[in-house]
Amino acid sequence: MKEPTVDSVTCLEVQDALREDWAGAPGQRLEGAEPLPVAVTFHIEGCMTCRGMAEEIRRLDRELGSSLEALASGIEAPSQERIDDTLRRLSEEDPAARLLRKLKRPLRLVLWGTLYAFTLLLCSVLAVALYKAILTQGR
Amino acid sequence: MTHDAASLEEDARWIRTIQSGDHEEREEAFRRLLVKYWRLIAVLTAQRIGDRREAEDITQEAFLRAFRSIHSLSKPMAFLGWLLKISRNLATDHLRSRRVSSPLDSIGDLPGGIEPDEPLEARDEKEHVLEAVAELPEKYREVITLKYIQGLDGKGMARLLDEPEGTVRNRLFRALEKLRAALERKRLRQP
Repeated sequence: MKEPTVDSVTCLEVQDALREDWAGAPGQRLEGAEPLPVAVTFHIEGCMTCRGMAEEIRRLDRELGSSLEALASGIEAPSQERIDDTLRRLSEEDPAARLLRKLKRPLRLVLWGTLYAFTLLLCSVLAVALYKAILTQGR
Repeated sequence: MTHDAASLEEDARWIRTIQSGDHEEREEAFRRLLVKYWRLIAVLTAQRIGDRREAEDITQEAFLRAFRSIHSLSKPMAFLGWLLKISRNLATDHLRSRRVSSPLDSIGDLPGGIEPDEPLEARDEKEHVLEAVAELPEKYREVITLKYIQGLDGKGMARLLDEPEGTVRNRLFRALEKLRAALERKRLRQP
């Protein structure tokens, strides 16, 4: 098999591979990441620009891991009290649903009332219009 | 914690139990989902609103809303994406009601973010990174947090968020580029 050289892959291909590698690896510092292809590793060793990018991504990955872990460490798993409270509130009726249920009957009455009044008004207007039309034709 | 296919299948099993199990089984499933995703949702919300205590209250409310309407969730594996959406909306409403223009002022004050006895340089670096993450647009901040808090890769994230893998990977690349640029700017501004 032919030995890879720095030029076996281009800088663009290497930089894409580095980004792909970072996105494809689970968080917490590239644990379980697949090793980079030999040609890419070879290119990185011989190319200053790509080596710089690889180091920058590795450093950023480490910094993101430790900073976000530190931030998350200030937020603990839910306490037993919090879990119990959530489950208790879950077993109660949703306040929004309760309010909706309370409002349902008066709301229905208002809606039907409005519809009834509107229909009555429409019928009256039509009746008057019809009466006027008959009168005009009679003359 | 990593998210392999078994973990996703486990989520789906709990959701199905909630949708059709008896009272005790449902409570157990609620409890497990709450414990599994609590920190992720709380961290994302804290990053957004800049207050840990309020973030935990919003997280609890998000879980309650998600659980109350879980029967309408047709794809059990998409639970996390759905929960994230609910918590995002709640955080937006909260910020609107508080009329806070930006949560960034207080991100460094979040407890646990920075250890007081850490060397100054390391503290500065962590602060810069956390600020850069907080300054990212929501969709980029979300994938970065999913990667580092929940230990997900692009594939796992795509499954959990019920989005195409290519879309999620592209979002991760953009987030990486934006973070690199933001940190570079911060380093240049340093004396």
